[in-house]
Amino acid sequence: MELALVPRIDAEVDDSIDLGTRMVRRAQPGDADAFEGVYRAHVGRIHALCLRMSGDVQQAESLTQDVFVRAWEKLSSFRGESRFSTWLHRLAINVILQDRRTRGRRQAREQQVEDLERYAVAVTEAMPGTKVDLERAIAGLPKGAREVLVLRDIQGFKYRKIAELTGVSLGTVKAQIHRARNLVQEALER
Amino acid sequence: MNRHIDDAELNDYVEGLAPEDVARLVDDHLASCEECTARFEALARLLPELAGLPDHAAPASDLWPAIRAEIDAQGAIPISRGRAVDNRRFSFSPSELAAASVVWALLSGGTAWMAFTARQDQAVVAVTEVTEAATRAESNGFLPVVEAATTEYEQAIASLEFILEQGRDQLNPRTVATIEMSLNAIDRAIGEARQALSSDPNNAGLNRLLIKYEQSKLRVLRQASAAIQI
Repeated sequence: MELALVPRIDAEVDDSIDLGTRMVRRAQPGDADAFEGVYRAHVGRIHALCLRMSGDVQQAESLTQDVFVRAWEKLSSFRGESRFSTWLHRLAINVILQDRRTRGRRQAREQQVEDLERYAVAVTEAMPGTKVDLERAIAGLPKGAREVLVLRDIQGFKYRKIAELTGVSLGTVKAQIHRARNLVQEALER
Repeated sequence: MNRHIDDAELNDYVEGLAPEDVARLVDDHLASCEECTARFEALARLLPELAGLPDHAAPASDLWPAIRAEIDAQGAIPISRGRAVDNRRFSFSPSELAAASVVWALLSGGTAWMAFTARQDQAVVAVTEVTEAATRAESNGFLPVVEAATTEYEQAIASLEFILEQGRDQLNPRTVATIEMSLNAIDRAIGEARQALSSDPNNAGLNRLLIKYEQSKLRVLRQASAAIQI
């Protein structure tokens, strides 16, 4: 049986999330000022996701912006059937994966030569207390491997859901994640 | 198990995903293999570390001003919602508006007025097909299309009403009376749907109903206009 790993976003229930839901209700009729409150309540989680999925500080900021603009555009489709943070999280993953598909191979290669030290410094500033070596090892993974590792081991998605989100087979997803874990371990041992 | 544990088996074992029979074999193997035990311990240490990484990150600068600017530049007031609906004549969903836009596209153009009848079936088919396609495309967002479609739809209705008004003398009075009765009934239904939407703007069923009535109105006007020579 698969471990009961669920997205952390579902697992945490706190006042800030409830407040965020109330702000969503206010924003839905088109109140951009209320939407700023939604942004402020959720930007930390979304930016962390964008940062790790992209492994690039500038791209992460651009993706974070895209996520919130898309969220504004689609806000009416949020019916409250799930927690807003879950809805936003799924939307963010779709935006990130779509961005990767549209950027194509050329930019994907450029991404791999990202200055990992500069990235590590930026991540330390963005997430004080994080394990820099681990962050650097994750950022140094090939893009596809990094994305599935983040989704599985940091975000806590089930393998089947990751396969669905990324559009690749379950077996391929598992193989990618196992390889990514090996690469992270190798990087940490260097 | 005489061989070493492979990656898939090890990962499944650590995550508790291995079938019981495999798990027993792995247990037995780990009891006698230092190499695989070291791999197991390393992976068992790594996973909690990854899961324990912080899940909040502050952007280097405040991104809100750029987001707000983009929202304002789009005029992207969410569709089918309270304030937005109140300020608009229609409150169609994006997919419905896109479909309406295609209807208008089929109806417009230099020869459109003379070819209504021939294109009528095409338009009905197109509405169905495009509504489905637009529903799929809706997830990608196309507010500019929606904005344009709203205006185009209103213009389409206004143009057809104008043609009908100008050419009503060419029609049989009983036909005119029937058309007017149909249009009045449709307008009442549209009014009621809009009224209901004003208190429940997110109701997808009401939005669909409204677009259905609007399409009916378009269809009646189109049929009437087709009989008029201008």
